[in-house]
Amino acid sequence: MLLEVILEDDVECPRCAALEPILRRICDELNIPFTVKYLGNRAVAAYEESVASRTFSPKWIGKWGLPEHKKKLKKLAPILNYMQKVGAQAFPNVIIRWHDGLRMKEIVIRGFDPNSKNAKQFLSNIYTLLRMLKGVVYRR
Amino acid sequence: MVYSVFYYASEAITRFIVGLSLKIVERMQRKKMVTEKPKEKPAPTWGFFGTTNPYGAKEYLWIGKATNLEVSIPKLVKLPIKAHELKKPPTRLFFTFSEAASKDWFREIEWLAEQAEKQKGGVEGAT
Repeated sequence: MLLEVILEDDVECPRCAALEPILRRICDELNIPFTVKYLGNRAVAAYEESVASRTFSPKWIGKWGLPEHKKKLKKLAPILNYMQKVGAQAFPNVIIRWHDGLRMKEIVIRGFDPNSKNAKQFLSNIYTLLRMLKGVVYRR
Repeated sequence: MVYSVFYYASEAITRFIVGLSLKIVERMQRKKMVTEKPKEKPAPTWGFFGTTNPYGAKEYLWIGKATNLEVSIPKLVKLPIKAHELKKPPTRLFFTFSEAASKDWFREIEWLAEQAEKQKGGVEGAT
C-alpha cells in the first residue's frame, strides 16, 4: 500500500465514533484506503513500542523495581493501580502511513475532541496533508 | 680559482635539496584559512538494498545501474546477498490532537522530518 490511513479505535469510545465517519468521508473523497482497527483497552497502541509500559504495576515494581522506583511507589501506587484496573488507553489514534519507494513513513496523531474549537482546523489539516501526500506518492 | 664541473653539480644538488626541504617545511607550517567541509560518502544508488516493503515484510530490492529496473526479492530464506542497509531508518512522527489542530502543524512536520533526516543511523522514529 503506497498510502493508507488507519484509525485505532475502541468500541466504547464516543470520540472515535465521532471521528470515524468524517475520516472515512475524507478518505473516500480522496480515494485513499481507510481501515479501522478495534483495539480495546488491553491492546498495544501505535505510540507504544511494546507491552512493557503495562508491566509497571505496584506488584511488579515491588518485586523487580529499582530502589528509586520503590521510594516513589508510595505516592504513585493508587494511580498505577487505577491505570492497571481500567487499562487506561487513549483513543482514537490516527495513523497516516506512506511508502516513499524505499522506506515507510508514518505520522501518528493521538486523540480527538469533537467538542473542541480546533476540531475543524484539525480535520482540515488532515485533509490538506492527505491531499498533498496523495499528490506526492502517486506522481509516478 | 677554477671551479670544476663536480663543484657546480654538487652545489646545484645541495641547493635543490635545501630548497625543497625548506619548501616542504613552509607548506607544513602554512595554516589553512578556510577549513574544508568533511565530505560525506555518497549513498549507493544501485545494487541490492535491504528494505522493508509496505506490508512490513523484509525484502531485498535490486535497483539497476543503467536500466530502470527494480526487482524485489522477499527475504523468506537466507540468501548470500550483500545488500546495502539504508542509512536513514523508517520514520515515525508522533503528534497530539492539539498539535495537529494548530495552524503551524505543517511547519512542525517539516522541522521534525528534517531532524529525522539529519539523524545518522539513529533510533527508529523521531518524537
